Amino acid sequence: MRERVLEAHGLRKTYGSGATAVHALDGVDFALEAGEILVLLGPSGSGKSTLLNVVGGLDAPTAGTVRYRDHDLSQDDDEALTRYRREHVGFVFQFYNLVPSLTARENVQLVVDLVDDAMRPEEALGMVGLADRLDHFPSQLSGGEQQRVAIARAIAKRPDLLLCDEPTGALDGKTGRLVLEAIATVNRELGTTTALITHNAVIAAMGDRVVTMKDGGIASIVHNPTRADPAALDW
Amino acid sequence: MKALRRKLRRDLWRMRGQVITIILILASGLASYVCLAGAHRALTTSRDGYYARHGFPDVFVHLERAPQAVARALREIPGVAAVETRLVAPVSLRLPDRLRPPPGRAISVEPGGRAGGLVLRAGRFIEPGRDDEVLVLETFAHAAGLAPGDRLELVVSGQELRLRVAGLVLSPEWIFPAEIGAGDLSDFGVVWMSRDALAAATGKHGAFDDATFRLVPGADRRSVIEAIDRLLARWGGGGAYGRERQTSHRTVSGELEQLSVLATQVPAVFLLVAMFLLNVVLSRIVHLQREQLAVLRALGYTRRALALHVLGFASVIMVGGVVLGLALGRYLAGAIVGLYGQFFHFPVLEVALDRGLVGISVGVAVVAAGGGALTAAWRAIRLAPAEAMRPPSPARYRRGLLSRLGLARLAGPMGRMIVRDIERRPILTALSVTGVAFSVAIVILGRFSLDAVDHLMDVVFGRTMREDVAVMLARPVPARELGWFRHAPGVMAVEPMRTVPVRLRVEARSYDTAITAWPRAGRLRQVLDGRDRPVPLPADGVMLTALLGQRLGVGPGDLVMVERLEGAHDTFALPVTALVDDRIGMNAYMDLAALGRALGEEPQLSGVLLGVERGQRDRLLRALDRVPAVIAVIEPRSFREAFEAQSGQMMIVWTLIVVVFGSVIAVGVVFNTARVALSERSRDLATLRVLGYSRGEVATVLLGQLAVQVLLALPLGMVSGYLLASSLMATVDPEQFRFPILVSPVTYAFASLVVLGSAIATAIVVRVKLDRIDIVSALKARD
Repeated sequence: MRERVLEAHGLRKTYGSGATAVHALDGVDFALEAGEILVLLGPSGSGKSTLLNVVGGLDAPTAGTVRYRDHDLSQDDDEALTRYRREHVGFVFQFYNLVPSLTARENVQLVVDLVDDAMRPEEALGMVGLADRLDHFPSQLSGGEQQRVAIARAIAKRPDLLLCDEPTGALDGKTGRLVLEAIATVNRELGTTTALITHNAVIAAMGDRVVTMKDGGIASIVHNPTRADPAALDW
Repeated sequence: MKALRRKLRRDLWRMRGQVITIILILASGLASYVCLAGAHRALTTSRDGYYARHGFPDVFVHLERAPQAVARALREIPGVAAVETRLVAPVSLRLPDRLRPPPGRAISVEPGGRAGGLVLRAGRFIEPGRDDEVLVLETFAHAAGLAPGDRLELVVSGQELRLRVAGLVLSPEWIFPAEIGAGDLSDFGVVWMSRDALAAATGKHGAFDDATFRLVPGADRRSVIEAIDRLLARWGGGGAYGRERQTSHRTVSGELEQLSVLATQVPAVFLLVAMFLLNVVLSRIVHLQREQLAVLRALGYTRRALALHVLGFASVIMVGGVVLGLALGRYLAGAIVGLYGQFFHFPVLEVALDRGLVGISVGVAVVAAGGGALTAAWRAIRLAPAEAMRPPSPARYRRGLLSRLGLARLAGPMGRMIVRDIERRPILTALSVTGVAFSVAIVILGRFSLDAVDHLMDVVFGRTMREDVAVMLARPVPARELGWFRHAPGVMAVEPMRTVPVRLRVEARSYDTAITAWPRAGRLRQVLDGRDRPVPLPADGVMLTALLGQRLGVGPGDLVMVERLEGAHDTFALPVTALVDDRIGMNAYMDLAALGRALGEEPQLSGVLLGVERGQRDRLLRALDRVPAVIAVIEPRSFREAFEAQSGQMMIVWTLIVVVFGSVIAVGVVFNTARVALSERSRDLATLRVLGYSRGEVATVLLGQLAVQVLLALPLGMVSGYLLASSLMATVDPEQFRFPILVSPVTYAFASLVVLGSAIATAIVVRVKLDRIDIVSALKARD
């Protein structure tokens, strides 16, 4: 069995209180294993994003513990969470969230400036197949290209965790496959532990494990004996 | 429509910070207009009504003495509607609790006393045959604690008169009661007494030495003045002049002129800023609500309904601004008129919000708010529903000039974001910078005159008049009389002084002034030039104020004809030996001995300058009080102190007003720019937070941009403040005052601090809002 990089126990996240309280996470136990690709499946409102945000240090749980290696995240203040994100986590979102006033290279540079042992921006962009688009502004790139810049930005600092929230949600099938290939390449070449949210069941085939969520809890965990090549996926 | 109205209400509430700051700016603009224009109207109406009701004369003349019969000839001059002849004499008023008797004027008045346009305020007019009664200018009486029935002693032409106060009056000729510019109301007294009594004291029975004229409408004033001068030449006429040279009128009019300039400039600045902010904020709202507006269109709302919805936002701001602006303006107008009321004395002086003022305010507010909202409303109705609902594409950026210069590379990614954002929206940036610059300018405009006046006071009363006490004599005396003063108690230094009223002539140009003379070697008076350096008196000839030389068209080496406007009225030529940029008035300076030679007489003196031993002042003043020849005793230092005490109060009120107004603009502009930037960029900023940037680092992007704008605005504001100040200064009559510096470094610094302080306070509020950004939801927002 692989090493558990991150472990969460009894995670609860409640929005509001009393009769109107919404339990986004309702006692979740969860782990990420070193080097795996984990796919989180589930309908909207099932708690996938909340789980990913808590794991990534963007949000604090209402109850429960999250441990990253020896470190207890659930006790951290804002400053410590910022440091955790800076040192260990890379994020990719559905709407790319590039800074529009910076070029592709400069968007990656944003992260490179923060850590010591980072890749050069050119190298990171090369890994996602954008070596020839270095000096383009986001408005000059297609949706798929913007998302790949976002991935390059997330992995340039060689993060321990790569967390992707619906990375292909706003893209068509062909472009989406290119993005997923980039994620798989990073996982293979850097060994980055990756969690990927999707509501597209086809994508689940590219993961080592598939966690299905429902109503704030985990409904099932499936181990794939082999990972599918993203290029072969079709939707 | 109800739902749409509810949406408007909630939008307004959600954006209350921005709504309130814009309302405040609009209200400040209207308030400044209502208060300045209202004060201007109140003062103008009061003055004009006063003049009309009480017959303020059109032309004035003072002369040696003329038989009463000459009045008939004056009356027959074509264009003259009415002539009033009278006696006017300098007096010294003896008040029981005053060591230094205030100087003043005694004016003859007919029994029953309607003459001279007097307004009775208390007591009664002088009854026929009562030569022992006197009317006192109300303001002086109040300051000196005099009431009807009180006894009053005064000295006229060396004679002591004991009189009883019959009544207190006001006169349109004495709205601003000063001759030499009294620092304190109790420093210059005006009294009216029966003609017989004044004639007896001055020895001018059956004669007059002063006349005022009212002209028929459309009369040629210039030719009337020439006719008067021709007629009175043999009676020692001192040169007739119109209202523009009458001290009180001139002072009041000068002040009104400045008010009217302020009433245009200041509100214009505010309203432009309000218009700009409204435009920025509303455009942003329309942009943020593209989807909502598109959905409303899809639901079947008409373009008209949506335009009205957007304009509704503006109209709430407009109504709020108008109501608050009128109320505040009305209040401030009262305060300003109250301040003026301390200097200018009208029988009735009240502020009324007339229909014109309200109408203009509302009109201006409609233009400002409407102008700001129109483009936004236009954008709202042009939205195509389908297009608006499509997901947004990233804002377009490109490498601008600054980036190409390599500046962006120096600055790192944060600096690059700042630089590129400024480059992407140059007009918005320029407008924000201009807005903040205006707030600097407003503070400068409100404060600079205080510096200028302070400096002038320092030059005149600190460095030009260096004596402790100046004594004015009723008439010139031979220089040997100086001996008495030398031995007066406490006197350490004595220097003689002479002033001679003259008319200077060069070809057809002439100017009435006085030659002031003292010994070249004297140390108690000095003339300062444009850089405040002392200029020695020439050994021979006359030194003129540069502007006077200009008016006469003469320079060093030229000759000027001098006609004495006293005594023999002889005429002689004098060489102009120098011009000097002094500060106040149109002067002619001479060495005392040179003046004696020019007049062909033994040196005489009409005044004495004294240096007084510390602690001996009171003794000296008591001794001077017993000298009948002394008509006035002036202490430059106490004059200055009195002036400062009075202007100090004015200064506090003004400073407070401009600080509030300036801060309102600065806060409004900075806050709104920041709010718009925050809403535009919250996603970028949240992204940076996700990537691992700390709150402080993220804040530098937004606040850095604001800082750049404010720092650009400071110098621009100083320049525009200087320009506004110059245009206000241009209304000051240069024949009266020539201000050396316009804006002092202290005022520049003060204005910058007010604006920086406002900006920093606003930045703190923005920083708090920034810290509260919910990273997760900001990331999900689509734009």
